[in-house]
Amino acid sequence: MFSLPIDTLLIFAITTPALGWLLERVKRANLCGIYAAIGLAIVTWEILYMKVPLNSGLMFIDQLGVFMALAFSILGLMACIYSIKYMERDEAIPLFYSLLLLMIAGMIGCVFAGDMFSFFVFWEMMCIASYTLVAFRREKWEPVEAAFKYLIMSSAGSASILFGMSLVYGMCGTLIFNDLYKILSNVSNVWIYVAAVFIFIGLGIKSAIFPLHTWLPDAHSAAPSSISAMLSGVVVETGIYAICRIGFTVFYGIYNQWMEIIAILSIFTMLVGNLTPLLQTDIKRLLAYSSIAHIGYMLAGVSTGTILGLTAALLHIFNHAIMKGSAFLCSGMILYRLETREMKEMAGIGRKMPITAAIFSLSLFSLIGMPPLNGFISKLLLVMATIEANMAWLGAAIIINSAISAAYYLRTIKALLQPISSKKVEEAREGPIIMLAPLLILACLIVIFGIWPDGLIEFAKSAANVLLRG
Amino acid sequence: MELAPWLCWIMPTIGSISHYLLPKRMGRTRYLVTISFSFIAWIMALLTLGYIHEVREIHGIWFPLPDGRLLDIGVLLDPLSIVLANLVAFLSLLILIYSFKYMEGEPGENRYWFFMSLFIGGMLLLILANNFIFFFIGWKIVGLCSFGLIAHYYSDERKYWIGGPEPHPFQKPSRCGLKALWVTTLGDVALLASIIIIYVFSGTFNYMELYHSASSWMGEMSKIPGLLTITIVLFLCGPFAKSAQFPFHEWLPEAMAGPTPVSALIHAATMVKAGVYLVARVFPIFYLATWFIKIHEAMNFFMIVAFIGCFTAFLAGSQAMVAIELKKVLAYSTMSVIGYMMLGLGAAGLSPYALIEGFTSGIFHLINHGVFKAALFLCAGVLIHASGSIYITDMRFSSKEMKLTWLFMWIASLALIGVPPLSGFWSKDGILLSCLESGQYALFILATLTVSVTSFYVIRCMGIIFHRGIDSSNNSHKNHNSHISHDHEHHGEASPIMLIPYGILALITIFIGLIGPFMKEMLSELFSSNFKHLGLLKYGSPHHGATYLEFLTIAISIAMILLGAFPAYRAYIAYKLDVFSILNKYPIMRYFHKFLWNRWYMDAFFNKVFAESVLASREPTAKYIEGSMDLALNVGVPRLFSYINAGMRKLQTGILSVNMIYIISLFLALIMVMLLLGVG
Repeated sequence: MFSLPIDTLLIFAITTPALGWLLERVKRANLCGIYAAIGLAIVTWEILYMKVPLNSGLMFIDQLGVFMALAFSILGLMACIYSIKYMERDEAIPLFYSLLLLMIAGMIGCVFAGDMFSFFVFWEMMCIASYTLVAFRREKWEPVEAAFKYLIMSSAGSASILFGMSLVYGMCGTLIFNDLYKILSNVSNVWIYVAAVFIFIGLGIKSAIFPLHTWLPDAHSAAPSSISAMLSGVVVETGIYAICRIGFTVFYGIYNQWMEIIAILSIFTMLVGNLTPLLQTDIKRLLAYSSIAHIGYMLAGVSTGTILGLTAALLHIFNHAIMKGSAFLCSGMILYRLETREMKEMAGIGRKMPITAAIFSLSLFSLIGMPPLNGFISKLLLVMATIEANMAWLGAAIIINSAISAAYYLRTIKALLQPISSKKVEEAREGPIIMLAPLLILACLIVIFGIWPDGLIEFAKSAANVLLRG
Repeated sequence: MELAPWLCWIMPTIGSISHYLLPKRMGRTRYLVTISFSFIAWIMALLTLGYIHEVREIHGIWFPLPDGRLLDIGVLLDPLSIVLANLVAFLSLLILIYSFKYMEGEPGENRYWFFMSLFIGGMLLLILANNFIFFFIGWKIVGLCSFGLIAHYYSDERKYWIGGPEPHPFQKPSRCGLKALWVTTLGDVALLASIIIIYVFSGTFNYMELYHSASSWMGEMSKIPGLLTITIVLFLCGPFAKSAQFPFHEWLPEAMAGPTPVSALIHAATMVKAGVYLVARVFPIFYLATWFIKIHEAMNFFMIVAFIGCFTAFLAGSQAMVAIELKKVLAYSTMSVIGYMMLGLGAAGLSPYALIEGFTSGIFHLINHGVFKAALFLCAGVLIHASGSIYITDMRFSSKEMKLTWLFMWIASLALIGVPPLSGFWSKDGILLSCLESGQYALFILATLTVSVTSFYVIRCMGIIFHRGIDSSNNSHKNHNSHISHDHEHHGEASPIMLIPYGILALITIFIGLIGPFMKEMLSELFSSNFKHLGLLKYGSPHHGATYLEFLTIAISIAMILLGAFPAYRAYIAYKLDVFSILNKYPIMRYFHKFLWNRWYMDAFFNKVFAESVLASREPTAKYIEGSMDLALNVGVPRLFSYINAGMRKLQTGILSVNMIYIISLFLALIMVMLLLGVG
């Protein structure tokens, strides 16, 4: 009904609790993680072999959608495998996987949607699943509080999107993207601006653009680590996708105006994302802030509006999913062993968990943008794109911010390598193999896409071409 | 056959690690494997002799450059590279055989063989490469190996120090190695800069392409006044530093801190000749520019080469007259002889009439010098081992005990002086002749003066080593470490493994001497056919008419040899002349001796200007520059960021209502902006 990958995900999401009910009888509830992982693997395979463009009723699937969906499903698969071990001590495990699958289904639905309304439905599906997942460990106060904050702010955003959509519908009588583009590409009146403000504010809350970012550090650090990886790595980026998609179709007529505003906001977003975590000692909070910074980089790419800029932004979305996913999963591994997020308490953990620490450092280096890792490639393209679009000041901002960001990333690496000071660290050992496996895969991807980025760049370019209708 | 030149440089390079791969229990036999790799290289070099009559480029693997052009590892075979490759491969094989005995029981032997074999590979690469980039790679490999080998005794025990004797200062091997590295690197950087300048104008690194497109890129370059001269000066810094020519000559005497085979191979026979090779390699390009394209600035190349070469020949020769360390005498003489080669090449370019004579005798001298200087160094190694001292004044050998060594060393020494009919005579004579033919009389006078200087210091050195024992009772030379030399009072002949290599070399010296004129004729045929092929002989054939000039130079050169030999013989072999009383009698001679002993004060000057001034700036730099930067960067910046950070964190209240206010305010702000933009 909604194209093959989404249907598969929905079927797995519905059958997981049923299976889980059976498995709970035999005290093997975490086995339904394997079931969910199989489902995600099938979906990844389906997306890889998908023929585009595909128009099936509600869905309009193009290169861009496939590109984004691939990032979602790869990271989702990794997070799912990781959770098998990570979540085994929790209650209501079948529910967790069901929600995870629903969230991924929502995200893929967003990027496959051919009209604004189905986009909104899937958007809400993703949001609601993510609220619940943030608050999944409901016995503690912190996740519940964070999720509540997230819920209120994000709902306000959803309401604002819906209101903007209603304005657009009132003007055009349709919500299909392609038709909207044809109707609105030459129209520019006051109501378009109002609709644009409402929709972008709504999307901006989800993608944590300054000053709408305040929910993100709380929610991302309170969630279980595999969910943090998903939230930071892909859920937030769905907002960026939506800005691109809606911005380049519905609001194509007022393109220049919103581009400038996004460019300016991107600089603020970067600055906030990089300056706030400088003295942060909570490792997951630090990574959450760094996500805000990376959102800033992506927005900078989007705001150039050129083919190179969009390619770079999409590439950075993909690379960021891998890098940040890997970093969050590593911090989760340390959390799993030490039960702390404080940097001071994990001093010297690199000596006891060498593989985790090595992969963590690799992903942090990649986040800094060190060659030859994948973060370098996309940052380089971003800077080149800004120069090409005569916005070198934006490129300079990216470079300066990357330099500032090195301070707190390196501080994290330093914490991993310090002399061991606590007994807890002394007794720690390397994490379980089933949690290490997804980390190793992500680390390999970081290196591979750093050394041979050509294929991925081509893919991102074809996705960017869809936006510019080139 | 096509593979031969490749294997020629690849084999020793592989050989350099072969002894690491073999099991330890094989002991010293492992080094025989290393030697065998060098042997293969020699065979391969012999095989390339088949190509000697043609110019041939064998292209290899291609690399794209950043600007889209292509660069290949290729081999250029022409008479120059083939002759030199054979010389290098042959000498290095003999010296490796010699080292097998010499290095027995020395510390760090694995390292020694690694560097030696890698050096041979690098040297052959630089000779055979067909473009500047791979040439430069070889050039740096030999430089680094030279550094590693000079500082072989890097633990700096007292017995490995050179310099002195008391009260004069000593130098430690590790410092000597570093000095060599610094000085040559200075030249290398300049060379690289000029290669890049040339590339910018010509767009190629390949020698042949550079030659064929010379008229266009040289023409472009000569439009900017002075640029070509600057490029030439930068370019020549490389060969001058490598070949220890003034003003980069100060590293070579101290390079003698390494083991003797190293001095023989690297600092006498091969590496220091790389500079001469490079000058000869680009010779056709600048010759073409000077005499065919008529760019007058290009003439500076030959002017600089000739004058610096001639001056260095005299400078180094004069210093050898007072040196008392055996290896230093030989080192000074190496610099002096390389000066001659440079002079020959320079004179060849200064006039079309001297082209063939100068170029041929320059290269011929290079070959001869490689052979006899290697022999001298190998003999010196034996003597130093036997006497346990590095000073000639401590050595007291008699010709009867070490008959063969004595004989071979005298043969090589006489060849160095240029006594007919030994090999050195023919080539040195040719260089002097080319000076006359090109009309550079000032150079000719200085060069002939150097002939007698050479003859003086060689005979002095040999006399002190071998002929003092005749009447040691009234000898005025005090032993500096007499107790050492007593232990070694009676020496036998050297071990055959060491004796045979320098025996072979001495015999070759005689052989080349006997067929000298024919061999020179053969080389000159080779090079003139090569130049004809390049189209450089159109200008008019070099005249051979002036036979009287040839006889004149021979006569002058023999007269100058006798002029130098006579006082040396009187003072050091016959003991009819007491040098110390002369020194005491004439203060001017004393000052002269001191001036030469301190190497014209050049070393002190360079030390003052480069080393001590840097050291003096240490304190102020640390105090004023580093201190303030430290304060600004390591205290100021973090403090600034922590203030910013503290401010930023206030934004993150965590209070939901405040967060919602942010949203509303952005709403309002955006609507205002959007409306303003939209309406406007």
